[in-house]
Amino acid sequence: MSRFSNNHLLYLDNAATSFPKPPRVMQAVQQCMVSYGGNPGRGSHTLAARAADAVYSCREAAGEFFHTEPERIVFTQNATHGLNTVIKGYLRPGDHVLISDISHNAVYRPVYRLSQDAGISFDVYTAGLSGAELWAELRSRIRPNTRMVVVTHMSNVSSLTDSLPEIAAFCRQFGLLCIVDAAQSAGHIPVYADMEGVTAVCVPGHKGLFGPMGTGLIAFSDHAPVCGSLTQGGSGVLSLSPDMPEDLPEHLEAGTLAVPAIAGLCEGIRFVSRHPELYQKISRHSSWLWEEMHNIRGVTLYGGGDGGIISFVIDGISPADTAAYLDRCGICVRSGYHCAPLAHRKFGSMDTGTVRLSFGMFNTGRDAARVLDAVSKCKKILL
Amino acid sequence: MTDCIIAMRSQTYAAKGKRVLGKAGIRAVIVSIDPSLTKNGCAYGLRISGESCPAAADILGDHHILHGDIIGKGGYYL
Repeated sequence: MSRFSNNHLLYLDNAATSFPKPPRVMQAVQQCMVSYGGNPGRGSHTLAARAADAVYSCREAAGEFFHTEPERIVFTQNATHGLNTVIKGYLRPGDHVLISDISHNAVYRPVYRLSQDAGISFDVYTAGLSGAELWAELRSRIRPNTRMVVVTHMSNVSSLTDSLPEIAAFCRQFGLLCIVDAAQSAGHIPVYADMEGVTAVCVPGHKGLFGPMGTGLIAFSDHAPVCGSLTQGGSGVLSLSPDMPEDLPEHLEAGTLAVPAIAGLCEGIRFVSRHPELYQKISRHSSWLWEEMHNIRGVTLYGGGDGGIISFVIDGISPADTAAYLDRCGICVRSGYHCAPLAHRKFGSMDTGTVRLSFGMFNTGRDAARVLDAVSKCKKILL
Repeated sequence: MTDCIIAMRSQTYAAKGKRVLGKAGIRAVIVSIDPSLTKNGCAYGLRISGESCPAAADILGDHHILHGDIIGKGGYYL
């Protein structure tokens, strides 16, 4: 299954987007395109109503998965879009925000831009701590004007996971908005909008949820205040008002939704719901491979191997060359900085970036063994 | 008995209301409401058989689903 329709290719870039997708995802996309291509919320004729029903079904599935009401699910283009929406929608001039030192650019760049243009200030806290150490770290970073903490639930460079329950509890105690970047964790490890202290969870639809690319969502907690809308436009309701509707989700969903992709996402969420063993499975393969690679002289590993992601560098060979060699071996991996400069600074890989192997649902132990063999040969051939 | 239309805050709430009423055995159809009957243009409602209207409104309330006016007739089914 991991090779899908191309027998010689092995896909290990699931942290960028999961592939292949479950057959039902593809069938749902096609069925929408073929059978009910109306525009939801733009009339109530039969095909528009069927499309609206498909969209609502996905809200229900996502609401159940992330523990919130269907109307608290806002569809976005991806996690980056969701994070931009809540970060820019909640923060106001004078506010201070904390981000973690494993933040993806989806967090770092909007916050940095606000710091340059909109009177927002920010600090970076150390990820991966727990207990009293974590509490002291956060306590030392907040200011009287701190309004928000953006938690990177799992790094996309090393799968280092932050202690969300503890950070959310901290936010609750100090009255801070708690925004969760669950781009790498959603679908793998539990992340819920009703976790005490959490305000909103931003998720890509196309990674751990197995939806098509171009999908994402924000799961708002029941108590989350409505944030400002990043975009304004048609919503299908209250058309004579110059303002967006006040209610979620329409408040944040200007313009036509990606209905075929959302129909696919719905099946992806149902698929993940039926496979709670996903994380254990990918962790088993990546942990085994990490241990084996750890024994190869000249291979530097960054972070641990659990969580499905392995970042490494072969001494003397650039990550780009290593990735190109693996590609010639039919193994699809990513090299570079993975859009996460802060994480590379933390892990000590800022000079070169890394090669990233990221396992998915359909990878097998045999795949891990094939990678090990290829990495060993790469070192011998390129050095 | 004439159907009624329960005005909903959005299509999403109309969809939620339809699901909730369906589970209670009340059939509801999502309809566009005649813009002349609304203050701010396009709106959605649930068209329900007249005898079920009071019960439907109660059920929506029980599920904390906010709704607008109940229109006796004149809702415009597109």
